[in-house]
Amino acid sequence: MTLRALLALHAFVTAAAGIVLAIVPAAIPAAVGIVLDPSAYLVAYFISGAEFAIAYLSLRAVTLQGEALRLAVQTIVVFHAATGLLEMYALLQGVDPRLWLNLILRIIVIILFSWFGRRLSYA
Amino acid sequence: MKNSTTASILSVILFMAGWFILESVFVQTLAVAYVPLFLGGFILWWFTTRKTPVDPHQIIVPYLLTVISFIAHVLEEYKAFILGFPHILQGLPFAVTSDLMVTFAGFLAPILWLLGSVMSLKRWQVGYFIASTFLFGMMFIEPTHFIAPFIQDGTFYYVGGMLTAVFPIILGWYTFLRIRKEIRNMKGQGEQRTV
Repeated sequence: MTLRALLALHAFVTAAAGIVLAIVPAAIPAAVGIVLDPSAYLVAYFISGAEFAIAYLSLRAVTLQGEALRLAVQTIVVFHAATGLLEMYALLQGVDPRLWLNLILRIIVIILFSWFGRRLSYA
Repeated sequence: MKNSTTASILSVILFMAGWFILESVFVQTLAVAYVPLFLGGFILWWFTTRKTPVDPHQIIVPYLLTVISFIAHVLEEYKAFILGFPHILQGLPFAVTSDLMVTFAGFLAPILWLLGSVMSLKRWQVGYFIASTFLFGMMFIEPTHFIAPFIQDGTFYYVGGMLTAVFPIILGWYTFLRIRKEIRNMKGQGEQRTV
């Protein structure tokens, strides 16, 4: 697995999450026991928009090099680290423990991007 | 090369978005079942036919035979569901009805798998992606017919589609191995030309 493959997979997965959140907004929250009322779908739409932005960043980063690629990788790491910390905060507040799986996945993503992005040179 | 990679990923993402919309119109939340399929298909495609687009004529026969066995398998799933046997999606947060099952597995899925064969014959990357998604489903998702009973209540019993699941599994693996063989042949020919 190379950084390029990881970025492509990340683009695909985040795009898929964005699509699912936009089309069936209640589906992903339901996976962790959260019943999303139709009046709260706007929240899912906001996240969907963010997912598309991250997917686009990952997709474009596949062809980038140097400083631009380093910035893209760092942005992805910051995105998952920030979301992971907020998820941990939610878990401490008593959200469904199945959310731990998502948190573990995010930690794996952070480790992978940090590992494969560690040799990117400073321009 | 790099631009073609970006373009092929983008085309795959756009196709996936379109397919999710179509599925959600017909089967609503059940469309989410495509998430693991597309994810597995993407990984399979990335490491196989994306890098080495094989001649589709070399694999089309086993591929279509796998589609035929899948359609026969769906018939068993449907009949078992109508007769009241447990189904593979039991326990998941999807309300499965016979209408949803027919639309999802008996109508939309075969259209997608056949679309994959048509697009692969046109040598479009999206076609190779769909074919990979199909093969991933047959090789790795279909075997859950034999695991699902244990997960559901720890004992082994019949779930709809269990008897015929073995055919798309075997044919799916055979088609995949044929693709691997074609990739090896193409790479071998490339190396010979270089020498």
